[in-house]
Amino acid sequence: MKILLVEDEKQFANSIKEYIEKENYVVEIAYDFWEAKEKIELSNYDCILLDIMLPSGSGLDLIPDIHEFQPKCGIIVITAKNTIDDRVIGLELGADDYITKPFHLAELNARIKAVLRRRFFDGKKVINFNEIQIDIDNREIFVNQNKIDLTKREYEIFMFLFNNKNRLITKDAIIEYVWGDDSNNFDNFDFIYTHIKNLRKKLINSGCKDYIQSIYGLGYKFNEI
Amino acid sequence: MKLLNKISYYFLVSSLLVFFVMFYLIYILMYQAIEFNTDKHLKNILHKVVHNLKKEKDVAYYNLVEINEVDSCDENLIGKYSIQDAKYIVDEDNNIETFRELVSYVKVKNSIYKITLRASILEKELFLRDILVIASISYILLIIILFYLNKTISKKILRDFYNTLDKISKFMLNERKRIIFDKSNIYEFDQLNQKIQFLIDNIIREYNTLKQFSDETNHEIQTPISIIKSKMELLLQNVELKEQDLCNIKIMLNNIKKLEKLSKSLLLLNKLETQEFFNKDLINLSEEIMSVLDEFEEMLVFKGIKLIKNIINDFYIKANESLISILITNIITNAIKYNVEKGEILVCLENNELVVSNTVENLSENPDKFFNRFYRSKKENDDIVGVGLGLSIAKKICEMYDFDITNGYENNFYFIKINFKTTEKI
Repeated sequence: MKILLVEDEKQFANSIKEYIEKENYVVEIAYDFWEAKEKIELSNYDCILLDIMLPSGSGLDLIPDIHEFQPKCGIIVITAKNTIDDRVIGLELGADDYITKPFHLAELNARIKAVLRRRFFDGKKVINFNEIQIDIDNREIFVNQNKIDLTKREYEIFMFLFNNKNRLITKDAIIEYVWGDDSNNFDNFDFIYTHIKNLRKKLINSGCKDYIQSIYGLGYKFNEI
Repeated sequence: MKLLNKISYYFLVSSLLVFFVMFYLIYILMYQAIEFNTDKHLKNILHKVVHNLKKEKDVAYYNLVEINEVDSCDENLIGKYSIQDAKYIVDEDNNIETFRELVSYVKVKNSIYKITLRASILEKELFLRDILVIASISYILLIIILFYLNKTISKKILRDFYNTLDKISKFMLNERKRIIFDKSNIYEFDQLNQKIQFLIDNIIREYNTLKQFSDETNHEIQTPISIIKSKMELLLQNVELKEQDLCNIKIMLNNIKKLEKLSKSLLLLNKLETQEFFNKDLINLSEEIMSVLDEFEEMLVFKGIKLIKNIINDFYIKANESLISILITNIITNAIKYNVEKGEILVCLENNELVVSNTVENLSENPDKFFNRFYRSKKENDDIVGVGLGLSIAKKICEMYDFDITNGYENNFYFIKINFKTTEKI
């Protein structure tokens, strides 16, 4: 998978690159509008991460170009402003998803995966991982063909950790991803422990290996083993 | 006191003084003139009487002339006269009248005559009274004229001034609307308008700059926060880190989150102050509260907090949906954050009022302070990711929609009460 990151902040772009490269993506960075335009017109990408606020123009203006030259490519809009306008315009212009700065890299990673799956695994959307099968469309998880009865939150937590395999994911990041904007008002992230405990119990009881590891009360990690 | 009334007051007080000094002077001068004339008249008669006496003519032609022959008198008095006031009873009713009386001694052919001449004269008291009456009437007339004059002046001349005043009082800085004054043909008022316009334009410009600066700063802060946050997350992936390192990173991440929240809250407060949320929707507050409570369900279960709800159905208010959501969330968050282990939260919506109460440990803190920016309870520890702006934001939202927000303690409960004065029911 080839990904183009359009982001003018070099240090930030490097962080994103370093993080998502572990998923075996080829990541290219364009630091300004014109560089991005050139790359879009000349090369092929599977997903473009598009920062709207660029020094030489609005990232939104690149969306028609992307549609023209990269019709199969997924687009995730990165906004700094927490204004609804940018999101709505972005989505209306045909972006697949948006994410607001500052975000957790794990969240961006999960969103990229979701977009890529939607774009490139059309038809049968089932992920197989060892004894686990994930039916993305129906949001169901099977262990050795047996369906596990998960709550909505448990499914989302599982998917978030699964999409960020082998990485330490903080509780904060999980809550922000699963609970969305409301999480800003939680004063304490420990309640997630109950969810993880139940999730692990359900998985282990159905014969699944214990992939989810708790790390020093800081967060969790889905170990590929 | 109105300007015109104040001016009139001083004018009337000083004119009262002038009036009475003037009228007293008039009285004295006129009285002297009258006296002088009467005396002159008496002296003329004296001459005639003396002349007639010398020629031995009849002198009893005036009833007010008295001629008595006297045996002797002081030599010095002969040929001289003296004039003074004298009072006499003139009729049976004992009415006293004042006369001007001239007394003179004349020596005609070895006999000495005492001549007394009298002329009726205005009584001083009466004269003074009349003058006073005239003065008072004039003064009352002056007051009446001033009253109508003031009315006309304030209508015609001060109209521009009152216009200006009205415009200034309607000026709201956060609306950032320039005041356009009408042109006044009175120089002073025109100057006043110009200076105020200049001042207001400056204030608006400064205000805009400040707001913009604060907005930009908060936006700019997002970038370094993003970078630090991403680098920390990368750091977290380092498998060689010891527990202590991870704990340090956790603390750093918590504090970065605080920074993030802080700048977002400040942006929101800024927006609220400049009233950037214009659109109003009809909101089912009952449903809004229920949905917020749903979001916090896990949190409540985790903390073992008992939730007691008493929410009437389909209570509607007109406001901006996002803001109302923030308002409710902030108040509920507060009730959870400062609750005690296995405490209670009461959410009650009825009679136009939303009351959220929670059990508290410590009733000694002054609840007035809770709405202040950056006020945080001593109870808070490092794990809590709050910045102390939640209730200020809640208050600001209430102010914006004219809702009454109050707080306090009642039976070991801390409560926040919002009265949605203007409500629309369907």
